[in-house]
Formats: sequence, structure tokens, C-alpha cells
Amino acid sequence: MKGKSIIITTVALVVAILAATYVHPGFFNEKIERLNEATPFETERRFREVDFELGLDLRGGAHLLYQADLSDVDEAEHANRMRALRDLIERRVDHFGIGEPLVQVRGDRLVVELPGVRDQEEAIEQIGETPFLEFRISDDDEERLSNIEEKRMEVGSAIDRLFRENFETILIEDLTDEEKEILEEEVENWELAFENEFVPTELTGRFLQGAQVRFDQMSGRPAVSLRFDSEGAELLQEITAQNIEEPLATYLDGRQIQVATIREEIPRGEAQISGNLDVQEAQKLARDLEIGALPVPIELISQRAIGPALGQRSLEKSVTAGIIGLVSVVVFMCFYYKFLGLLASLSLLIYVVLVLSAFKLLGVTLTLSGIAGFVLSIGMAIDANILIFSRMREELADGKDFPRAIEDGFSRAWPSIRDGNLTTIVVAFILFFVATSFVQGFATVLIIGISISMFMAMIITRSLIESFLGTKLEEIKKIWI
Amino acid sequence: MINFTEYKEKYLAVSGALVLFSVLAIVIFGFNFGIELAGGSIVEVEYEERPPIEEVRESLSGLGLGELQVQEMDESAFLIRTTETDEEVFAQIMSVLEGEQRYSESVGPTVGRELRNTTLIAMLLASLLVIIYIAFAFSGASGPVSSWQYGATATAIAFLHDVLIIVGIFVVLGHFRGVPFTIPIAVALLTTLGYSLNDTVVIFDRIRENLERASGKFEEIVNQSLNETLTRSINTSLTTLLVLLAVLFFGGETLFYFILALVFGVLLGTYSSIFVASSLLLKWRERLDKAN
Repeated sequence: MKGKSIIITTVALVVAILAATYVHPGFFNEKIERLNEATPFETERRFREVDFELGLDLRGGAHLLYQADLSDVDEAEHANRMRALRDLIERRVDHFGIGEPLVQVRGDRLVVELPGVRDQEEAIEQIGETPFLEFRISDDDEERLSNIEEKRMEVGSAIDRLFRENFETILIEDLTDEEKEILEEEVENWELAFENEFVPTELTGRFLQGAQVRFDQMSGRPAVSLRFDSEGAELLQEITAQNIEEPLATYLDGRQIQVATIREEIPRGEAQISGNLDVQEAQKLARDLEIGALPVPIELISQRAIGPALGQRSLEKSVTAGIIGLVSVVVFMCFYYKFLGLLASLSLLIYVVLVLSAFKLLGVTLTLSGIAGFVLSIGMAIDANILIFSRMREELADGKDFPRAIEDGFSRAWPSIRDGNLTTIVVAFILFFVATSFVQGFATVLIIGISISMFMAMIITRSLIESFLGTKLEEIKKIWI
Repeated sequence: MINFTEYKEKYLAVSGALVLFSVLAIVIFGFNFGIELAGGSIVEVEYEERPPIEEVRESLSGLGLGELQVQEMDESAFLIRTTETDEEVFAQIMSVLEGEQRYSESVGPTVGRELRNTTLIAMLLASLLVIIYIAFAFSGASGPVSSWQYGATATAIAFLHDVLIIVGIFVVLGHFRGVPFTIPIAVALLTTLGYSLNDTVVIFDRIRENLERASGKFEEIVNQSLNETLTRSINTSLTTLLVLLAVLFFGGETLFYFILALVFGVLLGTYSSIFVASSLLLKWRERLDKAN
């Protein structure tokens, strides 16, 4: 019994020291350097430095949540579309040159985390303003078309300015309230004039492989040539084949930029946008399309930005708080439970080191709430020890000898420890449903912490105590109770 | 030996009053949900030298941002909250203020509604599982109190007493001090639930154990059990409180109300498990005895 305990204790201590070098390698490497200087021995060996994964709230950065509009997309295609969107936004944010951005699909939403980004407005603009490219063809519904045409005439004469401009390039959002009021008075059903006479095709920027500026051989004007992937090429071929001598309209972010009449079937997946672009516009368009036109329209529905100073301060404060909490628990335990308390404190320190290395090993992202959860778990970890020691004291007071008191103290306290920790673990697992980083950070740490703490209390603390059985210390009753 | 059960009516009366006040507060004041749950935006603006709050209110009033609240935060910052969630809202606010934006968050109304629902579902689900677990933990108990009575008392105390009173406290804080009811507070409630149940379970376990071994009046055994578990109850709360208070005082502004809710949870959980839960159990037994 005692031999086994000494082995477990030794193993635990060795593991704890190894874990400590993993958690805080800087400290140990410094010591190696000191040794190198102070002694004739020289070694190049150092402990590998692995950083904790820190959440945005501790390192600063922006968290963006986008809603993708999949209403026009076939259900079976949703996952594909979202994956395409993710890949594309990933490429976009990679251009920001910040450390480890994260882009994640959650159903029909996209989470973008940009650690260390300084100007979130700029970032949002660059992500969101990627143009959404689509191709439209004429509506077959003749009646609707003629209605639209008629309204356009009426609206056009109601407002001269609108009449002079191309209707295709004006969106209803562009009208001022004043203009809307005038139209409201003058023309019945005026909104119809702003409806699109073209209907969407399946061909969108999603299938785009590349875009380049070209100069039209005949006119010398700049144009953007588009190259589609095989799926897009097939679609283009199909659309052009079915609509010969019909117009094909190109839209960028809902705005028409070109209407061209389809002369013949286009088989190779190559198309051209000329519109009325000047050289600069063409270059910008080609670049935007090259980096990526969005496969589905997205809308920013939630955002959070943490300044780097706030993150740094939160990290420092919570670490300080954790250390103060830990020290006060150790002081309390040693004061109240004397030698047992000292052993429990030792096992608590091993616990802290093990949990911290588990965070690194499992790549747990530490957030402020996670640190709070960890600090709370220190309080809970010690609860198991308190339960056991209170029992042991009672058993000793009942006149039992020391080994017997340990045995009964541990076995009688176990059901309570198990019940208490399991209820908390159950609650922590349920918390994962609430998909906010605060809750998940807290729950992850609580689950890891509690699992390790049960093991610590039942195995390590016990072995630590049993290692002292039969030694002189066992005789000194005063230090035990 | 301390006679805990002597004043059981008084404990029950005090707790009953607290619960009643909480319910009234919830009904009258209602929740002041944070932006995660209600939608809206907040910005924390930090100053080297903080201007008077009226000045900031004045500068912001020209923006036409609808419902707008400005609060002082620690020594050097203002917290500005608005119902507006437009992408431009932060740029607009910062354009009229001198300070530096240190934190900003904006949650659209859809996301807010969703989070409110998932939080509620998570809380209900967790509660349900915990109740099932408690029912199992007490199954097979015999003696003057049946197993389901232990379970029902423990859960009732945790839910209707501890959780409800903390909700009441935060509803009052929300009404008078503008403290928002946030997801972290909901998380603290769930944590309290587990903590309080655990505390009560330890005591009830002891009552059960003593009932098997000792003979005597039920009330005496309850009292004996409370005395035996007292050190454990107090020490556990104390160590947990030590770490919580460390975070409360040194952990910074962000976690303050979350930790405060947990502190209330630990205090109420300990109080209720020692004083209220056993009093309730005894009263229940007395009623049954009279009925027979």
C-alpha cells in the first residue's frame, strides 16, 4: 500500500515538474543559462516555448458575425456555398497581414475573428465590400416586362433627372425621401419601375477563376475578361446556347454594369465585361474579382472589438487575481488543516500545473471567462480535499487509527465528491449550446478543471498522505488534526 | 452542538420574504437585458482625462442615435449604449468624442433574440438534467423522509430560493443602477444551481447516513448532521469565496458582475443549505405527522 503510494507520489511530482517546464519554459531556460554561466558545463538544449492560445478578449482584436443570404440558393447547395464563402473571406483576411485570423462557418453564418486588428471599420469594409457578381437574362414574362416598361415611362417623365439616367443603374435605395414623395404623388405603383426586367441565372461570381484587364481589339477600350471554372463554363454555355440574340446582363452588387447581346454559344467559360469602364475602374474591378467575388451576399449582424490595451490589462489583472486567490487558499488550508492542508496545497499546485499544460496541449483558447472558470475550479478542487479531511478528522476523533481513518475518510467522502462534480460537469456540457465565446470558454475550462481535480483529490492527495504512513510524522498527532 | 433547527420558522420566514421581494421586483421592474440578449451596441471610450458626463451626453445627442445611455466606468472611461446596430454606429460615436475606443460590441436584433432563446433552453435543459441526477442520487433512501422528498426539497431550495433571489438582486440592480442582465449572469445562475444543490446534497447525505445508524428524534438527527457537516460547508464556501473575491477585487471591470453573481450564489447556497433546506424538510415532516 505504502510502496504504491510512494511510486504514485514520485511519478506525480516528476510529471508536474515536466509539465511546469512546458507551461512556463522561459523560467527554466533562464535557469539553464545561469547554470551555463556559473558552471564549466555548457548545453545548447532549451525547453521548447509554446504559447497559450489567447482569446480575443485577452489579446485584442475584432470578432465579426455575418449572416449569409441563402434564400436564392438550392438547399443542397448551402454547405458548398458556405464553404466557398469561407475560403474566399479567408483569402481576403489573409491579405490584412495579421496573426492567425479565424474564419468559421456556423450553419448559414460566418464567424470572422481578427486578432490584433487595429482598425475594425477598415477590416469590415474590406471584407464586406467585395463585389457580388451575377449574370441575368431577360424575363420570359412578357406582361410583367411591359408593365415595368410602362411605369418607367411614367416615372421617367415625373422626374426628369431619372429619365436621363439609365434605369438599370439606379436602385430604389438611391432615391431620396423627397424624390420618393414626388413619385408617390405622381405615379401609381411607382415601385414597379425599379423592378428588374432581368431574372437571375445560376451563374455567379462563385464560379469565377480569374479576371484580367484587357483592351478591346476593335475599340481599344478597357474591358475585364473573366475565366470560369468547369462548372461555371458549363452554365455559361447552357445560358448562352438557350438565349442567342437575347441580352445577357452583368450585375455587380445588384447594380447593372453591362448588357450585351448574346451572339453565339460561349463554350470555353470565358466572358468579357466592357461596360463603360475607364482604365482605373477596370483595374479595380479585375482586382476585386480576382481576390474574389462573394459566392453569396452577406450581412454583418454582430461585431465586437477589443482594444489591445484593454486585452493586455484584462490578462494581467486576471492572472494577478488568480495568483492572489491561489495563495489565499493555500494559506487558509495550511492554517486550518496544518500538515494535511500543506499536502492538499501541494496537490493543488500540481493541479494548477497539470490544468495549464492541458490547456496548452489541447490548444484550448483561453478567454477572460475561461480564466474565471479556472480560478473558480481552484476553489472547487479544494472542496474535495475539505470533504475528505473533515471526514478523516471525524474518524480519528472516533478513535480509529490513522490508516483506517484515511481509508474511511476517502471512501465516505467519495459519493459527495462524485455527485457534486458530476452535476457541475453536466451543467458545463449544456452550456455549450449557448454559442458565445464567453460561455464556451467558461464551460471548457470548467470541464477540464473538474475532471483533473477529481483525479487529483482521490489519487494524488491520498498517495501524498499515505507516503507518510509509518514515518515519524505519523506519530505527531498534533500536526494532522 | 449548535441547535440549528430551533428557529426554523424564522429562517423560513426570512427566506420567504426574500423570495417574495424577488418575484415582485421581477414582475414590477422587469429585466434590463444586456445587448447580447436584447440587441444593440455598446462602446467603451477611455480618456486620459475624463470630461464631465453631461458634455459627452451633449455631444452624442446631436447624432440622432435613438435611445442612448451614457454611464461612467472605472476611473477613466464611459460606457455608451444604444439600440442602434448599424455598422457605422461606432464611427459615428467616435467622430464626436475625444477619447479612445477600447471596447465595442454590436448585436443585431435577430442574434439577440436567438441568444435569449438558446440561453433559456440551455438553462431549462441543465435544470432538468440536474433534477434527474438528484432524483437518482436520492433513490433508495428510506426512513421518515422518502427519497423524492429529499430531492424535491434540495431542488426547490436551489431553484426557488437561491436562483430566484439572485435574479431578484440583478433585476433591482438593473432598474436602479443600470446593470444589464447578461449571459454571464445566466451562466452564474447555472453554476450557483449546481453549487447549491451540491451543498444541500452533502448535508442530506449525512442525514440519511445518520438515520441508518443512530436512533432518536428526526429533528435531533437533522441537527446532529448539520453540526457534523458545518465545518465542511463553511470551509468550502470560504475557499470558493477567497478565489472569487480575489477576482472580484483584482480581476478587472469586465468580469465584475459575473463574479458578483457567483459570490451571491455561494453565500445564498451555503445559507440555504444549512438553514433553509433542513428547516423545510422538518416542516414538511411535521405537516405529514399532523395529517396522520
